[in-house]
Amino acid sequence: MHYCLTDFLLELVHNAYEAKAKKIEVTITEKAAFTVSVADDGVGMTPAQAQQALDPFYTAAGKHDKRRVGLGLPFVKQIADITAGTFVLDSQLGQGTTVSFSVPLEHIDCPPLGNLVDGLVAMLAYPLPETELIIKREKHGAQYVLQRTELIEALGGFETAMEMQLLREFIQSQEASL
Amino acid sequence: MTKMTLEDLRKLRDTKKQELSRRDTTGKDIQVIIGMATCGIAAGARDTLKALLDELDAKKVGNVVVKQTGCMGLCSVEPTVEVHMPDMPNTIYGNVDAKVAKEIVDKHILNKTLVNEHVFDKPAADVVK
Repeated sequence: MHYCLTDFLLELVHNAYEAKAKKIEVTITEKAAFTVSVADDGVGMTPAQAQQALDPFYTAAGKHDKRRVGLGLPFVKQIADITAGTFVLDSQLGQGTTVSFSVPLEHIDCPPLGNLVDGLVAMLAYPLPETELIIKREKHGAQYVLQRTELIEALGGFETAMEMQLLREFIQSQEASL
Repeated sequence: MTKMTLEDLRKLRDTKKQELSRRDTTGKDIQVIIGMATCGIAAGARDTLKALLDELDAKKVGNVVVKQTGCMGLCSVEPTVEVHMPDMPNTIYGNVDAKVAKEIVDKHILNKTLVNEHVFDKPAADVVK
């Protein structure tokens, strides 16, 4: 099980990259609840596959042929269940997948937020630069938007430690403005 | 902290690149790969990545290429960090928390010595003391 909410979010974004998405849209809203939506235009799933994806002893064919576990989505659903939050998986084969979850921040079993800035750096620096990633972050009414292609253009890429440090500084300044 | 614009970011990048180009070229052939699958994330790979970036920045080695990868099947020793660089064997380190990540930068990358107790794979047995 992941330690913090940022790690659950990172997991969902990695799933979207692995689904061969060309575009991923993430919204992160923080009010009384921490609410996340990750929408991709990747390969999508049939209703039966979507159901199976919530089984921890199932993994998508081709990813790890000899393994029988896939824990990402089951982890997210579990944390929503134990905090009386919500979890929605909406997927259509060939169209894409949207995963949303919301957890009440005051719930005693709600994990800590974790370091969201470093989580966002990891998401944006994932080594598939051709995929567009748009992150909309909102906290108590204030917001900022991060667009991967714009940031790649500004920094020249996210390959080196220097570029990733600058990306982190940029996101920190956005986060501090909320 | 003032909210940065993309233009601010471009200027900062240009300044940093000029600083780097004035220094030696340490880092240009170094690649660090961090396992960031479910197992890696659950074991704290995000903190490992942060520690690596912090230490590389502190030691002014900005040209190191840092990449994320999926599961290598070494789930039991996550977080894992693989280092490729000249004059050193390709090395996979296991159980790399923030402290070990800093050691990898200081010993392996800057001083070309292995962090023996965390070597998980690659160098021959006689290389690891």
